[in-house]
Amino acid sequence: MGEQNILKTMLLLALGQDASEIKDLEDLKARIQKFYLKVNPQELAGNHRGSKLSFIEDESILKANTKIFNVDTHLNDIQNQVEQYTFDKNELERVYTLYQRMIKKAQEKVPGFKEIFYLAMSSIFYAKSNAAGGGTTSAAIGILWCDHRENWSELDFIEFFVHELTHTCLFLDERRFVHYTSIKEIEREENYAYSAILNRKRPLDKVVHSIMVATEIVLLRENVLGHPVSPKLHPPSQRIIKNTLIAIESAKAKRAFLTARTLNLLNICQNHLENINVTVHA
Amino acid sequence: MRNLTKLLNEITIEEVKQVNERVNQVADQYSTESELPQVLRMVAFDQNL
Repeated sequence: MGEQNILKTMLLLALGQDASEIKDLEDLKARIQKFYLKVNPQELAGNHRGSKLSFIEDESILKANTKIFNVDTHLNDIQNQVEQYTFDKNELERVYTLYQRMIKKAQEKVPGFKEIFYLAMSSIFYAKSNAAGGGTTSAAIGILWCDHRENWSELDFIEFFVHELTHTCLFLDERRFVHYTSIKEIEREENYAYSAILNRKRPLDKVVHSIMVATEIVLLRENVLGHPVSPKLHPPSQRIIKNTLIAIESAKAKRAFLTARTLNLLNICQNHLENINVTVHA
Repeated sequence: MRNLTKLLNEITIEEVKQVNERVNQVADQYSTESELPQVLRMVAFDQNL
């Protein structure tokens, strides 16, 4: 999506809340929090206080977040239960200290990450799940659920944060441009397409998100981290590139349900991926 | 902040209005077209699970 474009999206959404002059990053952050308060359910308001990233320890907020992340809809094709939050202060302190350290690593290594992550993310909460390592949802934009695996390396953590930040920026991009012509149609199973990372038929919104995330991860490796030999969170680059190009074709076959903006994003991903020499990343 | 100032100078009132309309359009899409609450849950799967 590009750092400048993401910043412009944030500015436009922020100005929609309050059209007066934006003085600095903190001012912009405060207005994005206002935007989240408007589009997210009221019970999540506790996540959007203050100008710094919140690491959620409050039991009522943990409970509200877990509930929203577990809401089921026709657009959820896979059960990703956020099973249990903990309010054991020692465990939360241990986990949140680790996340703070890993976010700092991402800030040091990934150009542009610090500013965008600061603006886009309101809060992080830890809750256990057997199904996944964390996630984000369009019903709770700006809120990041984490359940890391103990074997994740520093690079896996950085990929995880970039992965979830990409989803969040795409949720915001959707609000700015509109991505789908009909939500009802993308809920239908006959309109599913192949996803980039899980490589299976999924709702079109998931496929578009998977293509964007997969492309960002490959570009992150290509430009910053290097291509890992045995990555734990995402597949090796050669596999991601191959499956993402298939996913792009599969999504384009359903173009009737995508707006011009979404098709443009898919073309940008395709151009990036076709210009990476896959043979060196076996 | 230099980046922000440059971007802010490019933004017109008309563009902000248009984006506000689209924000409402997306909210309507989810509230009227879908039978269930708006949730597009995205998850980072652990390959080893």
